[in-house]
Amino acid sequence: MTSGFDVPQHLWPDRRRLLVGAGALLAGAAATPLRANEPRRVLHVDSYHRGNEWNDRIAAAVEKALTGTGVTLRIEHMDTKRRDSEADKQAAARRVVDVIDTFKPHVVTTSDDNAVKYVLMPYYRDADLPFVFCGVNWDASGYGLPYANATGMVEVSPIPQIVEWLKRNASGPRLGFLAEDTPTKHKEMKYHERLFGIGYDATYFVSDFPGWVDAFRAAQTEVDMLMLLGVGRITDWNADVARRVAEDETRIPTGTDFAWLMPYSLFGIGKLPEEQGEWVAGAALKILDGVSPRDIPVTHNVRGELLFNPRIAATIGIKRRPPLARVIE
Amino acid sequence: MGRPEKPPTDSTDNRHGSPPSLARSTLWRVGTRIALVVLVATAFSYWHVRSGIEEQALAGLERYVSERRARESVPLLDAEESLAMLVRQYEKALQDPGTETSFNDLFVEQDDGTWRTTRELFDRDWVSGFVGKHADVDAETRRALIGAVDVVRRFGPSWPGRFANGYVLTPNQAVVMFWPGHDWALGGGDWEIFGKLALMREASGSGGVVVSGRRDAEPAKGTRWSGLYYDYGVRRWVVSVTRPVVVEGRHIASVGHDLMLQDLIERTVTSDIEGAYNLLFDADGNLIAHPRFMEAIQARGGALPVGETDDGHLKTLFSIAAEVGRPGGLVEVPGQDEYLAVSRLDGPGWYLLTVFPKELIAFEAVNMAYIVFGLGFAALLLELTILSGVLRRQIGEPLKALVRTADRTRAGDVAHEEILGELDTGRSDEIGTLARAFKDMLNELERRETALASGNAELSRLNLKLRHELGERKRAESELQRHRELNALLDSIDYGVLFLDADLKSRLANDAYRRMWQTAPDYYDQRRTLREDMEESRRRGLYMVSEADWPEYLDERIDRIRAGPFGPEELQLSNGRIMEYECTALHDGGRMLTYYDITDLKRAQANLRIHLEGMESSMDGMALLDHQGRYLYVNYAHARVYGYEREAMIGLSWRALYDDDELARFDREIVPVIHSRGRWRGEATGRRQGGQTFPQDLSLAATENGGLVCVVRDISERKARERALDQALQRAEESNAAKTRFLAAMSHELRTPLNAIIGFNRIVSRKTEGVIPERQSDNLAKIQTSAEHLLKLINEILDISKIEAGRMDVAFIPYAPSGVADECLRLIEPMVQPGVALRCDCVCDMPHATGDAAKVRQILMNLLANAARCTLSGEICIAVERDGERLRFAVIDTGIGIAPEAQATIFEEFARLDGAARTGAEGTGLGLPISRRLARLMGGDITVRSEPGEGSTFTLDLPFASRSGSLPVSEPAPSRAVGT
Repeated sequence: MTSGFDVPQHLWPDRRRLLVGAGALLAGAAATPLRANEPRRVLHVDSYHRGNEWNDRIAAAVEKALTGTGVTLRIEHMDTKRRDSEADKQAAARRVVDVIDTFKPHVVTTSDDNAVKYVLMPYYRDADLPFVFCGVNWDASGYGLPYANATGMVEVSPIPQIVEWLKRNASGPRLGFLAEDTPTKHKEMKYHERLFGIGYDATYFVSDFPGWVDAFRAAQTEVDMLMLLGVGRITDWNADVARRVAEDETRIPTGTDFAWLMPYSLFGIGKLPEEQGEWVAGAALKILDGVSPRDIPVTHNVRGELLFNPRIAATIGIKRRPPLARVIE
Repeated sequence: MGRPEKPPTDSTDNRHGSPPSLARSTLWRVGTRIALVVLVATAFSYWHVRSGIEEQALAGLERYVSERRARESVPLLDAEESLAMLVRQYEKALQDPGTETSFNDLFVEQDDGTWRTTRELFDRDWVSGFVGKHADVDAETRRALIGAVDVVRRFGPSWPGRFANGYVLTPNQAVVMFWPGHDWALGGGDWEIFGKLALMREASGSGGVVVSGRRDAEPAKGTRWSGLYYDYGVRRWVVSVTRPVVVEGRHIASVGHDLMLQDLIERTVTSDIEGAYNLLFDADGNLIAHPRFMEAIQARGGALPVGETDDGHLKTLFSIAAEVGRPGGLVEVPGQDEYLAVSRLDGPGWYLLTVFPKELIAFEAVNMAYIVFGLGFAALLLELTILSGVLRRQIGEPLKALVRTADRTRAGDVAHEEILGELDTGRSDEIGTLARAFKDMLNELERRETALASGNAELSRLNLKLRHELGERKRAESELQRHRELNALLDSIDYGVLFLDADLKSRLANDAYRRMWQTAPDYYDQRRTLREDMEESRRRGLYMVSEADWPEYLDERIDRIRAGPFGPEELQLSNGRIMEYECTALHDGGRMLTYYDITDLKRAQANLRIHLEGMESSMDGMALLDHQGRYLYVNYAHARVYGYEREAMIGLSWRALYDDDELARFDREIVPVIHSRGRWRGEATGRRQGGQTFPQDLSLAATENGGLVCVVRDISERKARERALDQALQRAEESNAAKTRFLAAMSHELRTPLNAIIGFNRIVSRKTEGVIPERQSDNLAKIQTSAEHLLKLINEILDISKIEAGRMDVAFIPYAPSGVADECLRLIEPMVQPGVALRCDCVCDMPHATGDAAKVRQILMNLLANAARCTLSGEICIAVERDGERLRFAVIDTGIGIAPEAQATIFEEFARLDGAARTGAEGTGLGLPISRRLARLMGGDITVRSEPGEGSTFTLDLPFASRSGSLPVSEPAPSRAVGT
């Protein structure tokens, strides 16, 4: 969900044709025409491991949506968050290809970037086997999507709504952006500016936890409201200290689109993984019913939920809790 | 005499407070009744007005809803009509053969596989187009798109202000858009364009997967409205309306508009009617606008399912709205105190609801009731004001004048005629009658009071006199009481006090003064001059002033006292008492002389000085410490011991004089002892100012005030001597032990060959008896004698060695003392000189003693052998007696005796008597030392009494029941020689 669009460099261009050809060959072998009365099979490929809450909720939504439809669902985890070396990711992709060979699904659904980047793009691009992806952030064109055999739901964040709420509660117009120093977050900030016309008066990209704390403190005086985005790549993250700093030292409204950043943020609109899981399952059913993936336009998520941290609200003197907001402390 | 006058009081302020006012009570009764009428009228007005207001409000609400529905539906219906027209024009454009614009002039294939219109087209006509990269760009699509460009270009300029945009969508993911200022289809990514297309097509709130329609598929008929969604292009919340274009049964395209409903939403969440609020539902029950839930609605993507709010009230409202249906109506919400106005908007079919709380109607009615009540209350106040004026003028004022007249009459402060002038006696009504009767009564009262006043004046004068006398008497008694208390106080103190008046005559002398000056108890009953008083004391011989000096002394002293205050000064009397006296001037010119006997104090000071001098001269360090352990006083020796200047130690803590280890010992061992026993003595290690430590004898005693008395002595030299002595003693003991070991070893090694010599010599003598010459036989005899002497000497050395080495055991068995004595006499018999008698003086029935009989025998044999060697004539006697728990053997001879100076050394090893040598009875010099050590080993001793030429008596004193030696045997006590 937070991976970049960079293609594995050692695969391009030397082995590109060879692998794409092999992928197409494999896809051709794996694509199984659906015959009447044949049990319908869907393989859901999760880029991460079981226990990763976000992806588990997507998989659960897929499973729930397919329950009672006569579809046999198999879920395969690539585990590329815990085993994130390039070799591990490629090995995981080959394992998925093997599963596809043996399970022979009629549709493959994927969640998050690595399944697209390491399975769909190198092995099944424009092949016969239909793919439905989700969890690719902001723009799937980085992987050349959509393909003739693939459609999906791009994951976007309700940034305008968050900023609108922050403005109503801020004492000034200056907006800050604090996130881990990764290409993905830089690109995300550019999307904010291009899509929503949001201009950040100060940006804080940090590589480690002390840097995050320093930036968080600096932002309290340098801007009037602050967007807090992903910190998953900060390896020395200290949740307890971050919570204490946020609860004790927040002076301006802060917002995020991640529910797990809510212990450090005043306000948030969290995306709902279930929306993506339901859409992916719905698209898979359409395809199983004979619709071509090319006739299902790529779309993006729209649903979210209000999140609110009353401890931080108390620190900066905000007493009104947005109605229907889920309280996270 | 008249009655005492009573101060006048105002009748309007009588003992019951304000008097009941006739006017006031009348006003109260009238006002109360009118107020009740006003309240009833107000209540009636409220109910009447409320019902009217409710009818009006509901009618107004219905009107409002109807107007609102019409107003909000205008842009929606406009959009639908616009699309209907656009469909017709588009169908015409598709069929118009005049369309010749080349598709390639409008669209260019992009690197990503998409087709997009040219920038020039947008810059010129605000038209942009997009074809997805997997779409089939066939001829029909091209015609559809060319027609779309044509129609939106022509009709687009009429849309701004009415719609955000207008567009044509084909079933295969192609779109042509007229959107002023937004090159949406040129710059947006696939997902942005497709995402919006999906939202455009999506029925409100279904959230499902959108499938691009195929041309041959059956299109949805009529106008379709999307749900509310956030458009990333305009960054606003919009809703899309589309209408399919079907040509010959084929779905060629759809035309549509986006409507920005921000105004509609804002009008919804801000109600026109104060107290009421609006909300917007779509047909699927999704909340689109609500004044409280807008944040949640927008977070949810613009449509919040009512089921997710967990708000039963909202669910009820929606179900009512669904039941009411189009076009709407006004209903009362069951179970809620409110009305619900429902109207369904044309176009998307959304429900616009207005919730109108009933309390708003009640509020209006209450406001009206307040107005009625206020008016009624104002009228009431006006009526009461008028009535009050009339009552006051016609009744209140005449009555008050009557009351004032009565009060002033009672006070009698003005003339009679003036008082009556205020009454209106000319009125013919009840008030006039009352005034005239009152006037007659006043005239009668005046006459009686004149008679009464004269009597009262005399009575008042006598009363004042009596009060004055009583006051004087009380003051005198009080003064007398104070005087007695002062005397008692003066008599109870130790100070002698003599009060003198300004003429220096005695006024008062307390008991202490009389005791000090030994005057009779009644001496001061008469007033004495100071001179008389001093003369009296002199007659008693108390002054140490000579006869010649007395007149001058007396005058000088009296003059000083008269001159003024002085002191304190000391005065010594002839009886040895020392007084401290002081003269104090009194405010009336008198004097107070105070005397205090400081004799004991002086004595204590003298003693203290003596003790202090003793401490100062002490060789030991002495000091006094306060309760915090700081030095209050140190003598020179104390300061010297610690190496300080004396002044430097004052205020210093004793803890500075010891190192940490010693302080720990103090805290652990010494301080608890001082706390429990009050004192401690022992040795400690002090630290001098330079840091050098030294041993000290230390004595600490706690004082009553929590301080300490400290006596310290530097014992460095003594310790050094003790160490030297210990070392010397240790060396001596080591030498002695070495000597003992040597002797024991030597004696053993010598005795073995010596026994062999004696044995072989005895054999040779016996074998050669009568064979060898006599001279050789004598030599053998000398060898025998010398060897036996040497053997004896060695045995005795061995005994001493055993004793000193602590290896001599003492038996503890019963024996007969007299039997041992007899046995020894028999054994010694061969050794005595001829003519010397042997005698035993024993008690025959003496019981058995307990001890070591062999050692007793050895001692007695040694003593008897000495006696035999030293006694050439006379007798040798052994006497045995028991004295309590002691047993004594005495060996008495009539030999040569021992010189006094020799008696001190005869118990030392190898000491010999000169006389013994002369008798040829020389011993080994070890017999007596061994005997004494054995005696002491058994708990006894040997003493000697001797007189040269008269003989000697050796007394062996033993416990009757001895166990073991208790006296030290290594260091014999000096022998005690007793002269005979």
